[in-house]
Parts: sequence; C-alpha cells; structure tokens
Amino acid sequence: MKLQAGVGSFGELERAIRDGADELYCGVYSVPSHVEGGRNFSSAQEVVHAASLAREAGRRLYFAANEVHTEGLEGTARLIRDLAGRGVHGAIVKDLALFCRMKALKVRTELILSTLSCCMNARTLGFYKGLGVTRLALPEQLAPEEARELVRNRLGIGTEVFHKARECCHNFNGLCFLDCRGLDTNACKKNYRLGKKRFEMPRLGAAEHLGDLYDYYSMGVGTLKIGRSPDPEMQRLIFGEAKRLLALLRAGGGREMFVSEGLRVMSAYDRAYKFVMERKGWKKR
Amino acid sequence: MEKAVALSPASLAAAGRLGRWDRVYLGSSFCQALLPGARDLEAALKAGARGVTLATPLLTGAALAAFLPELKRMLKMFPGLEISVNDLGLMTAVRVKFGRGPKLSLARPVSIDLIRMDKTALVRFMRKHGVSRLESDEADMVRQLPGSFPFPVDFHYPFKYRAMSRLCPRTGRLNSACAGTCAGRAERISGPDGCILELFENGYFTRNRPFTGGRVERLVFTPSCPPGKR
Repeated sequence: MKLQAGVGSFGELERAIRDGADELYCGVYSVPSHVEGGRNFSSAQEVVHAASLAREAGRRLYFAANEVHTEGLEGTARLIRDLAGRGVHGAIVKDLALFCRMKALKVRTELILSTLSCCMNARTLGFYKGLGVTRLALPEQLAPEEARELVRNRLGIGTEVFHKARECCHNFNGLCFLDCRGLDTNACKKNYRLGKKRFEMPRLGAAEHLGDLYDYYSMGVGTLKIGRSPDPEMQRLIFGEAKRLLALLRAGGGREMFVSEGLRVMSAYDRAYKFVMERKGWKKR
Repeated sequence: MEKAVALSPASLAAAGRLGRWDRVYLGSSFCQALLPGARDLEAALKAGARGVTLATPLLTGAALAAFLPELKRMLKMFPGLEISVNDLGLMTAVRVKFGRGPKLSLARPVSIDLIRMDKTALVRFMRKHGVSRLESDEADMVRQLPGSFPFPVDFHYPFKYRAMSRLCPRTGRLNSACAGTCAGRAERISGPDGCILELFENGYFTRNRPFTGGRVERLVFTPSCPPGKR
C-alpha cells in the first residue's frame, strides 16, 4: 500500500517527499476541488513546478478537480490536458460532464474517480471505466466487505482509501449540502436535540475505522490517502500518523493487534493535535 | 399536473387507499433497507395504485445483485413501471437486462448533484441512457433549467434534501442491516444555533413548498408519517 499525501504549498510538498510520501496531490484555488478549509496552489504554473519537483524525487503528482460543475468546465478540461502534457501524472475528477469533455478533447492521463462520486458497486465502476477512469477512491461510506468487488475488480482499476480514522465525513460527502466550513462549524458535528433527547449524526469510531483499514490493506487496496489540511502542522501530524499505521500494517500481526496498536498510535497523536489546536486557538473537533 | 405520493414499503401498509393519487413512488431514494419488492408492489396495486414508480437509492453490490431479480418480477407484474434511479450501476444494469423498455427517472439525491452540471452534458447523458425524467426539490434550480430542457421534472415536497448517512440515524448501524423500523416517520432535530432539520429515513432535510413552475409536470408528496396514522 502506497501513501498519497494532499499538499497545499511547496513547503508541504517538500516535507511530504522528505517524510516518505509515495504520491502527492494538489489543487489550485481557481478550480473547485472540495478542499474543506484546506490549502491549494495559486496557479497552474505552480502545479507544473510542483510536478517537476515531485518527478525529480521519483514521485507522482495528481491534480484535484473534483468539484467542477457548470462553471469552468471547458477551462478545467483544457487545464487538465495542459497539465498532463507538462508532467502532472493525472487528475482526480468527479463530474460526469468533465469526464465527457476530457474524452472529447482526447485528454490522455490517469484519471482517479473521486470518493465524492459515490461509486458503490462494480457495475457503477464499469460505467466510469467507460469514461476513462483508471483508479477509484473508494466511497468513505462503504464497509470493506461491501467494497470487495470494487477492490478486486477485473477492469484493471486500482483503488485507494482515505485515512478514515482521522478524516471521514459523517454523511455521503459527495451528496452533502449541509453547512461545512471546517472544524466544529460543520453541521454534521453539532449536538442536536431530538425531542428531549440528545442527537448526534452517527459515525463510526476510530477502532471501527482502524479495523476497516486493516481489512482494506488485506484486501489489496493500493493507496492510503491523506487529505489536504487547513494547516501545515496538522497536515504533517496526520501524515505521520498514517505512516505509523501503515508501518504497523506492514509489520504483520492480526486485525485485533493492529486495532489495539493503532489506537495507541492515534491516542499519542490526539495529544499532539490538541496541542496544535490550542496553540492556534481552534476549538476541539 | 400529475400528483403522486411517495411511500416506503414500511409505510405502505398504513397508507390506506391509493387511488386518489395519479402515481405512487414506492421504495426509498435514500435507504437501501427500504428497497421495494414484488410483495410491496402487489400491495400497492391492491390498494388502488394507478401508476407506480419504484424509488431506489445508491446500492452496494450485494443490494444491487439482490434487487435485479426482484425488479424482473416486478416488471412482469406491472410492465408500465417507472424506475427512479440514483445508482448508475442500476441504471446500466436495467438497460443491459431489460432493454430500453423500462422508463427511468433520475432521482434525488444524485439528481441534486447532476442538475448542477453543464446542461448540454446533462441532456446528452440522459438521452444516452434513456433517462426520461429529472427529479428535484429545489425550486431555484428547476427555474434555472433552460426553456429548451427536453425532460419533465418531478418536484418533491415537503422534504428538501440536505444530506444522507450510510448509518441509520436511529440505530447507528449500516442501513443494509436495518429492518426499516423508521416506518416512514419524520422527526425534527434542532441544533444549538437554532437550525432545524427533518430526520427522514437515513437522510436530513429541510422543509420546502410545492413548486409547479418551469418544467415541473409532477408533484410528489412525501407524508411525514404514514397517512393512515395521522
């Protein structure tokens, strides 16, 4: 399993390469890419430069364009074609119209189907294969057993999964229209009342996510993905945590042992997150 | 204007006679535990349903595999069935297995995303896959459809979609493991900042009003509790 890190600046890019990221991805501010409070590069030129730095270090850089709707469709398709010709290894895409436009423009590049696309089954994956998809970011809402047919597809499409124990939406992220501005302003993280009872939107706990990660690893998911973060320090922590979890997976041992050790790793990182958040005056997530 | 009612299998029994509606949406666009089956269709037809649209959500591979034979039975039972689809895998499977016959409608919540895409591409996509209707619950988005938009719109009320969970909000478990105990009942949740959401099936909604402008040709009402239990 490779580690793919989202980066939002040259500093983050260099650090991620130094810390051992196998792949990188980034966006630019002018192209919507579902980066909740996270950071992006300022121009296509910067992305091209980032790709050349990645290439020099033997890494691949992908470009995220996974929230493009009507506006900017043509420009984004042409931008991806341009970036592909200038060393960017591929693009992360969600919108059907963008896929179709790229097909019409004969864009030849690796295309990762965004987790936002909610591709829940192998037939849907076959549909996207027809649009040129070469890799799938698994929907966050699928359980590993449900994702098996996607991971072991016969279409030659690789799969990746987010570090869900740290970064996972409560709801279907590609189909969520609730207020979402990051940290505890998100509508899905609020404490609600249902009659006289307290109500929270349900989500899985860290132990369940770690168990899932073990299953995904055993099943052969190719990439563990770390999202872009609003803050470089936070980004570095999440990357470090994912790296340690991956080392635990590679070391072998059973599922139970991985979950238990993984929780220990996360608990140590929890303290570091808390420290960074307090220092920056952010509220606890 | 065609008038329809949306009922899940769990709320069908309490719904009473259905003949006063032009059409019944049977199933759920959100929760795969509430997929309609042949027995539900039979019950709806016995209750006087005149037209039936099967409402279907995003589906896991196992749910899709289990649903296709059931769909075959239902298409035999009532050849005029419309199928309201969210899942692109189901959409392609219907065309592969049952040809161009079954009428397809693009359902919420996926339609809420797709209505935002480039309209030329949306029309091309719908034509290519034989999708003949578009569902929405957003008056402003329906208003923005160009006058030349060739497909009729089904407008859903009084629940305007905001988000959907894979975990049942009532049990916290994956909705594939749920027994449909919500039974078509909506509940209101209120946040600390005064925001109010309606919890319905495995989704979160706000309230909207029926809208009949633009290309809307069908109004779909979802009762907030089974009509018979009012």
